[in-house]
Amino acid sequence: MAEREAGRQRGNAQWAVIDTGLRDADENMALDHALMAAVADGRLGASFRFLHFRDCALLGHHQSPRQELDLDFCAREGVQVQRRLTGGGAIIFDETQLGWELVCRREALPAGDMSFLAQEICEAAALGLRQLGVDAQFRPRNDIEVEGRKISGTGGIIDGQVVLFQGTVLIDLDIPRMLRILRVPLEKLDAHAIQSVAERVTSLRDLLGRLPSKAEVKEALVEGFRAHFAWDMCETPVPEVLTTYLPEALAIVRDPEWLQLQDRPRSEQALLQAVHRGSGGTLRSELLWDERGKRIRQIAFSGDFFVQPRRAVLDLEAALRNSHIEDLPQIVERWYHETPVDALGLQPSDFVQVVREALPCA
Amino acid sequence: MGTVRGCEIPEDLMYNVENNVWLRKEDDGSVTIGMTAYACALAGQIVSYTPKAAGKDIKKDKSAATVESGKWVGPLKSPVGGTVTAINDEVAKDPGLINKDPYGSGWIAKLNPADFAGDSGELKTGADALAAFEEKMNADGFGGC
Repeated sequence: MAEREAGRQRGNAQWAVIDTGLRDADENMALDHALMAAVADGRLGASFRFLHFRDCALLGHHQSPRQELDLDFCAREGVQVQRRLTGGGAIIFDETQLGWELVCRREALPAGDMSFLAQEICEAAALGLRQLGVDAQFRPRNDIEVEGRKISGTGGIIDGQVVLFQGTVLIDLDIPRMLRILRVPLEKLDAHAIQSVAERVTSLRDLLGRLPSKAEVKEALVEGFRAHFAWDMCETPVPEVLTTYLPEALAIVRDPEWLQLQDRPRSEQALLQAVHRGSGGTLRSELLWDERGKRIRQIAFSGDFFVQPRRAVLDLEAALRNSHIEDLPQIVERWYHETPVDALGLQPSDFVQVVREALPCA
Repeated sequence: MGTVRGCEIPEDLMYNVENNVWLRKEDDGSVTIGMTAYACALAGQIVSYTPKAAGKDIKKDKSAATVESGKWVGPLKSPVGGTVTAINDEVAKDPGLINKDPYGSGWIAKLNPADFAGDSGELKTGADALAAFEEKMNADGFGGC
């Protein structure tokens, strides 16, 4: 709480709200470089940007295109592939989704560590989404979810004293198309896969039963940030100064080296699965396994078991994302003891075992 | 071993305090650089590490590597300019080593400096470094490691 108060005291800067319109992924990513450079040079103040994309897939900064995407499908369908400056996982973007981001100097944001800062920003975005009538909440580490289903993913970069933190809002979502583009921990792209994703991801259209306009979503998000941080936010035209930085930024993101910054084979990130039968039922794990780093990149649990509330399992999946295998027992134990779980015979050890049984050396 | 607000800050190393990086001058004239324990505490568990390749030239205060923790990316800025001579394969396999042993096995890169005397003048060491980190932690509102 002390940090939040400090943050509110520090965060009294004026924020320019800009909308850079519908663009290709390379232009949007170049604008991120340009915004950071302009803020670093003191030529641009705190800025809150809305992003709109033509059909594309965006990789997290440290991800490998071959490991995360169906590149043949992307080439065939004209889906642009780009790399973000920010961390996190690969996402798809099209005209039905909205991106938001803030770019500023560190002192314009609450004091505290990176985890706290991400939480503060996500809580502001969740507050904004709640204005639309959905029960959006922050979920560690950086998701915004509604009843356990993700509606917004986020990620950030801090370069010296300059921060860029960005997120998505799923206004609508084409799950079959998402499954064609992104690599997810599911063996087949069938009805089961679509159902599995639908249990984990949602959209405003799905929740509201109507398609809200982007203007409505933008207004709600700005209101959330304004209310959470007490910021003075004012819509302004796209700053002219960005044109100074854009040519160099475009050259960076269009250089093949940028996309190949990480290029690892699929074999180093295998899709693994296991079935474990215990007294609490049958538990199945499907995971993308980073063999080199010994990390669970993504995981999905399914099977014939009883856990209430159902979202508890989704929270465990979120907590295990990107975790080192050595940390598995502690993460599961912490989840089991911190979450009010009614699991009818399922024990933390069952979840640990079904993950370990999937691994190559089990 | 110096400590500031619970964070180890070895007094025999040199630091760019603003960028939260350390530097050790080796006997052969090369330098080793890495993240401070304070930087690790701010970042949390590090899950990815992408260094600039050996042979690349890096300017002073430009990125020698990027790391990622909890979806945050952070470039590690080299306190001196030079040519990368080695990257840390053990950290590439297990980036969490940076958190476990930031001044030892979790080093980020080794460089042959281009102009060590010219670039290192503003780096802090010993008691000066401890005082500068105390001031930075205060400005950052940091509670402690």
